[in-house]
Amino acid sequence: MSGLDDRPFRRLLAWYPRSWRRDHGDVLVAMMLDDAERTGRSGPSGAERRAAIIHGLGARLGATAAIIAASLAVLATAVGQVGLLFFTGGGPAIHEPVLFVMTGVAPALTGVALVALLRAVALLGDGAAVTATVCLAVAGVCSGFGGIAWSQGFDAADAGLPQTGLAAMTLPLAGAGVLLTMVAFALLVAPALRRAGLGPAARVLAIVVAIIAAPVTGALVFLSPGTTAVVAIVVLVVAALPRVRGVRRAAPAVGAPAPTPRAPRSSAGGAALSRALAGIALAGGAVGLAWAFAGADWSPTARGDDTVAMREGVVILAVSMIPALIALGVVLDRSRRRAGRDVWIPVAAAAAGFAATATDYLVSDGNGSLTIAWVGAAAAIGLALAWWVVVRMPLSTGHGSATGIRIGVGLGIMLAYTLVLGLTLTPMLAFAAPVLALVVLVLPWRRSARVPSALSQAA
Amino acid sequence: MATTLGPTGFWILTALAGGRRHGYDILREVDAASSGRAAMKVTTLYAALERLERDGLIRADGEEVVGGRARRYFAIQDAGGAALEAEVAALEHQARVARERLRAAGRPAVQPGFGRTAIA
Repeated sequence: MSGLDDRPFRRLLAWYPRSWRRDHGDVLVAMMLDDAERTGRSGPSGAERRAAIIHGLGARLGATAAIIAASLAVLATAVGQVGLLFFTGGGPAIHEPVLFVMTGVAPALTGVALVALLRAVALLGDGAAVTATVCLAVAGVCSGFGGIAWSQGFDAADAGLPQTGLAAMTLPLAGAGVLLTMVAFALLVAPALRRAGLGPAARVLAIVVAIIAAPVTGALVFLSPGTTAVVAIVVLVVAALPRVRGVRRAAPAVGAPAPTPRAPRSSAGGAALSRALAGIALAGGAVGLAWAFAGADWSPTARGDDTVAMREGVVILAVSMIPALIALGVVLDRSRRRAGRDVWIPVAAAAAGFAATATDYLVSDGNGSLTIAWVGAAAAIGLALAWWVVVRMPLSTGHGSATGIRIGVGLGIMLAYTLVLGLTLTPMLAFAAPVLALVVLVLPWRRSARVPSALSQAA
Repeated sequence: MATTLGPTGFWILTALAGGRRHGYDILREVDAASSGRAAMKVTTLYAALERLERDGLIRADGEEVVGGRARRYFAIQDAGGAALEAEVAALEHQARVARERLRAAGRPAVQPGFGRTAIA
């Protein structure tokens, strides 16, 4: 061992996330020291510093970053939505920050979440991921100020005043935002096209796609901010999938005990129960669909009114969702990939949500006024979604902040779903009852065939 | 017949084809075997090792501390060996086609193992 001071090399580790430093830091520093000794250096070279910055920042963009950024994006949209709905008379002091959040912060966070997801599944390299993240962050700032500028310009035009100050910057800000989004999109799309075997044409095609997609995205962000939340939720759910998390999961520490998989249950009773419940849900779902779309002809209460028949159909479908969800719970619990509470709490919450939907459609007159059951249904489904995502988040259990992150992200998802999507989407989800029942009818055979082989491999 | 590993992956798998090596040993072996043409920075090597490990082509194969420095060993997996063989076949195909075209054009054929032009 030479007397080479390792501190200049260790300082480069600050660019890496803590978990990466713990697993790889000593090995990387040792390699850099060996290389410095061979080439007669006492510190990292400029190229080594640059490479460490890119690699370290890239290592921060994984499944966890995707989940956190997507959750914050959903939360930002929800906060913006609350600002628009409940503080309409607040003037520019409320209106402008809300615009900045909805047209700048939320889309930028969604973009960063997408970048982190693509890097987590190895579709994007470190350099492209970091560059795209910077582009999207600056694009978000431009877009946010562009939204405020547009609003000020609109007010000025309304009052017959000239466009001055920030209002005069609307087009340059929007243009800069779109241009940076184009660069980011080209970086995101090119690797996927290269993988598709397009070779040198991939870069040209990626630029063409980016030139078309960036302005469309910009328009969507302004015209339909809720779209951002939909994309963020999709990213969130995909990033929480075990396969995605496994791709970037840090190797367990040397000597750490491997988690013992729960042995799958193979009781015939469970399979029969899940199939019976799914069968009931399938039959109920079929009746509900028929009632919703053709019940006006035979329903004694609808008496030819399509709207009443549709509401009655939704009640039947929402009630049918309950056995379908319990059947799904039985299947997931039998596979024993998750603790029982992580299966049954989301299932119970979702079942309560659909029970609330059925109650709301049964007792309210459907005049559009918010009811406790309507909001409660959205909140219950939000809780189910939040629990399902949060327990699958790839956070290290070794440090205390993991629980705090889980609670924060979970509350964000639940709040965002309830306020942004839940009120509209939850009753529509009831129409998925027969589909879910069919899926459950297929699932048990696949699960029971797969799990033992996975366990035997682990052994 | 397209190559898929890229130069970095190709040289790392080549270095590991002869047996397990630790990170810095791989760096030196790649440097020597490629006559310096595939020389890479430590962080680049580490990122490539992570990628190959994630793709199931190599695996971490133990650690030891030598002279106060941590060394992590890597070994090629069966899938890595198969990927390297496929890459070699693709490169040989490319070289054969290029050699035939050069010969048809009346240019002197490039022989394997002669300096920089030898490696496609």
